[in-house]
Amino acid sequence: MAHPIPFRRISDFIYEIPEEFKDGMRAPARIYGTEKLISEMDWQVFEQITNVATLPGIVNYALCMPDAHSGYGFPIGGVAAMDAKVGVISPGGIGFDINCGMRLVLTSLTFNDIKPRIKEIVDLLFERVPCGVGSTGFLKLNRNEFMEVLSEGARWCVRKGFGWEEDLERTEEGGCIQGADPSKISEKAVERGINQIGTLGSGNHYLEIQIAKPENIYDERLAKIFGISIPDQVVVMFHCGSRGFGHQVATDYLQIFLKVMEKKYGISVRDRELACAPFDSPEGQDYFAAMKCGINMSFANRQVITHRIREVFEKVFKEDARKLGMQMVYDVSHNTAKLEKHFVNGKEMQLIVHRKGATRAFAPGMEGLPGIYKETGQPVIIGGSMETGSYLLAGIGSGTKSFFSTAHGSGRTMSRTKARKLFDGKALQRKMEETGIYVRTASFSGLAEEAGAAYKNIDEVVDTTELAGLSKKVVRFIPVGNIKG
Amino acid sequence: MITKTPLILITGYLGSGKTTLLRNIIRDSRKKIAIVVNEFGEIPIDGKVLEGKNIRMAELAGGCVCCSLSGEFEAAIEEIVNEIRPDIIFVETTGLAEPDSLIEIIGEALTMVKLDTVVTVVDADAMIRFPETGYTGRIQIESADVILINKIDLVDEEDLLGVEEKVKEINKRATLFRTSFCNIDTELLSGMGVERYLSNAVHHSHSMDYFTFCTKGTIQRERFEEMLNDFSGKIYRAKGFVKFPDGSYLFNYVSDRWDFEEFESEETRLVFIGDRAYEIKDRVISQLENMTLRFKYRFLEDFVTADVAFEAKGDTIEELFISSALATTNIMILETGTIDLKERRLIEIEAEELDLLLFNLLQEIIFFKDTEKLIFGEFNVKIGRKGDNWLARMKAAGERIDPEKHILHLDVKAVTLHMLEVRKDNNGWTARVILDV
Repeated sequence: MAHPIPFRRISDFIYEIPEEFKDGMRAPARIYGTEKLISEMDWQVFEQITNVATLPGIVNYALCMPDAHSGYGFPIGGVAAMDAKVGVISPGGIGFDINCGMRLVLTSLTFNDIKPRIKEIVDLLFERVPCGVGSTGFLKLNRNEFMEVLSEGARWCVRKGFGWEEDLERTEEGGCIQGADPSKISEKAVERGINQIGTLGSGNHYLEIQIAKPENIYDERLAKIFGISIPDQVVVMFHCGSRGFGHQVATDYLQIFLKVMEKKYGISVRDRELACAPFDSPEGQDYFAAMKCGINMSFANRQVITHRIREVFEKVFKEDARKLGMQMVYDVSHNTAKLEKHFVNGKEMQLIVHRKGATRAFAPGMEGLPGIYKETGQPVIIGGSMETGSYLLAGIGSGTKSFFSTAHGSGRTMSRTKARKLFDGKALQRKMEETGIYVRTASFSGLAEEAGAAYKNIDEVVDTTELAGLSKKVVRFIPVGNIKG
Repeated sequence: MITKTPLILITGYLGSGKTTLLRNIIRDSRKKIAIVVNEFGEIPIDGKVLEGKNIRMAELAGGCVCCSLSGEFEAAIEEIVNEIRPDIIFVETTGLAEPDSLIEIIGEALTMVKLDTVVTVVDADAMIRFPETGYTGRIQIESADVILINKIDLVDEEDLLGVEEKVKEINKRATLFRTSFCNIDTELLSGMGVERYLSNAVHHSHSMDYFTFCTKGTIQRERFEEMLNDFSGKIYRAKGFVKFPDGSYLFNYVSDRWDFEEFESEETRLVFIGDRAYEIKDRVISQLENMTLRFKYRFLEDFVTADVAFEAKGDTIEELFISSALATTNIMILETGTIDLKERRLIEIEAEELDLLLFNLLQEIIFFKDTEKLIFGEFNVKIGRKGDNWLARMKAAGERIDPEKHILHLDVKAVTLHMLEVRKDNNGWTARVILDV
């Protein structure tokens, strides 16, 4: 390998950077990936994950998923579990976009049903699901209603008619994480988020119409339980988060932590973006409760978008969304910290598991899974680049070594600035249309930055998660329509 | 007996080609020459165009040599003769000068020089388009020994004959040459003077008004030309240097016609002259400020993978903050010059450290984007201390994001503390910022 990093090969898919690599490391770092995937990661991934390994209370290893790339503070694709008693919580280990995640909605339509109307569908979705810089949603909430959203998440939306009761059990935490406390939120965060429910955002956020081809079903039984049972079935997948609200919550607490971290708790970190506070401290608990408001805001955002998607299909096909089979598969979060119970060296421990650009992948039978998925394991939704494809995976028993975490996407390999130099947004749109993907975007320059070639090979990433025992493949989807923020 | 130094007076209306003629003279002359340039406008432009050769320049700016600056003019001539001892002196008057009073000064008050020739440059194209010759233009033609009918490339033969006829009606004794870009054997210009009747010149007041604009920033060319199209007779003449993204240019504008000639300049310096210039001064200045790009930041390639990193610079800490603010804006909206300055906000923030002050200030830009959909194209910042803290007062001007008008790029989620740096060295201030997008 080209990097001057003293990797210790644990298996074909796990490489370890030992504690001796850097002063202050409290645990080794482990990178999941093939030699090829790891060689394609930028060196900062290793710098950042070993910084994470210095955080107080880290348990076992600081982990990198196979789609990892460098971020700020934590790498993207980073997982770090801290002992809830003595460990820290760090906003940098969650990301500014709290509960950024994926949602997958089924239809009973086939590719042939939508083929002649794909432009109509995508154009209408583009109109109904606002995206891009400065976009606002159709929901006009007053302050009190917004506070309710922060406490109730997707449950609020369903209560107000923006969704179905059964959507909730098909969302992590039932669409409403317990313990969200709006009194821990700044006025600024409220102002930033209040108009943004039902909006995608920009960058790598998107909404896609996808097809499950019969040859891309890897586990027929699980696929069927997850709702993929018709050849060339059409699904809708989208990726977004808690918008300005979550961004502000993270920004606020980053600054609060920065003030108390050293002076009050005597913790020093290698990168200010790793600012943290003991989980069991007033500041740590305040952030945890505020961050949960971000989680709920994000669930609500994706719930309202789901509602809009159903409306669009109802309008285009002049048929009720239920008749169109528009059931949700699941809603997963890939930017969170959650309090979970895990077995560490045979002993059950309460851990605060940071997943930044990593998806929880609970195994069959685990607490926290809804009844419908108790036996299958958690559905995991992996968004690929807009030109290649995406996956539906399932959590498996061997995931214990990664605190039941897996990848979240394909992971970038190329910087945005470079991608923009290499690709032209409008030409890319034409080229994608020629290959059967109809794209609408709020930003052509943004589109260019999301070109497929700027990402790792999604198949390689997903195969690695399976080979490394993090999750198993169920279905691969290919895109036919895309909206890009 | 001391030989008197010959002096050639170059007159001509605004934008007729006087400076171009002087550039030709400097290029061709083998004599030791001195040049006195009188500018109408506070910023010397012609002087900069002419400098660089082994010539002595004296610039008189901020008024007209035929009236308000005559004392300074005499002093400049005296100094040149004594110190430089040139073979010949050229005096370029402003386009608004009425040479009769100057001729009087030279004849009576300046004993060390003798008026050799009065050269008047006539803009043939302007004379056809604006047939009404004003008083100043008439006096300039009347006083001339040599008249260059310039810009013949812009007019046809028939019109040209008309111009010549008109000029001859005003001045029968002068020698006429047809030129374009004032291309003429400059030897033809000296020794053409004749004894002239010295009238009792009356002091006059110019009916022309002017204003100037300077910036170290870069101007957007399309918007600049759009502005020129919109002068609607209020500006007759404009000139100076303008820095476009592709390079700097010498700019010349005369009544709806303009051209750009590549020319080294560190900054944009412009003067606008017109009889009702004051009417559009505020609008033009604000347009110019609006179209000024301050490219003092660059996006760092391969520094971060999914986020955006930039490096900003500034001679002062304030400039650094403005550059950083514009860089942040530029991630959200490409071509920040398209942001009109319709709404203003005042932002005041404090922080213990300078880098955290910048962090907070950029956060505010993101805050206004989310809360009011406001995006700013112009910033003014004052930075100082307040007790132990740093204090920034920022005035931001911009408008609401309009996807029809603005080119949207990426929604900036947050400023990160990752590798955030603000530092100062001999070359000024530098900041490195990584933004989550």
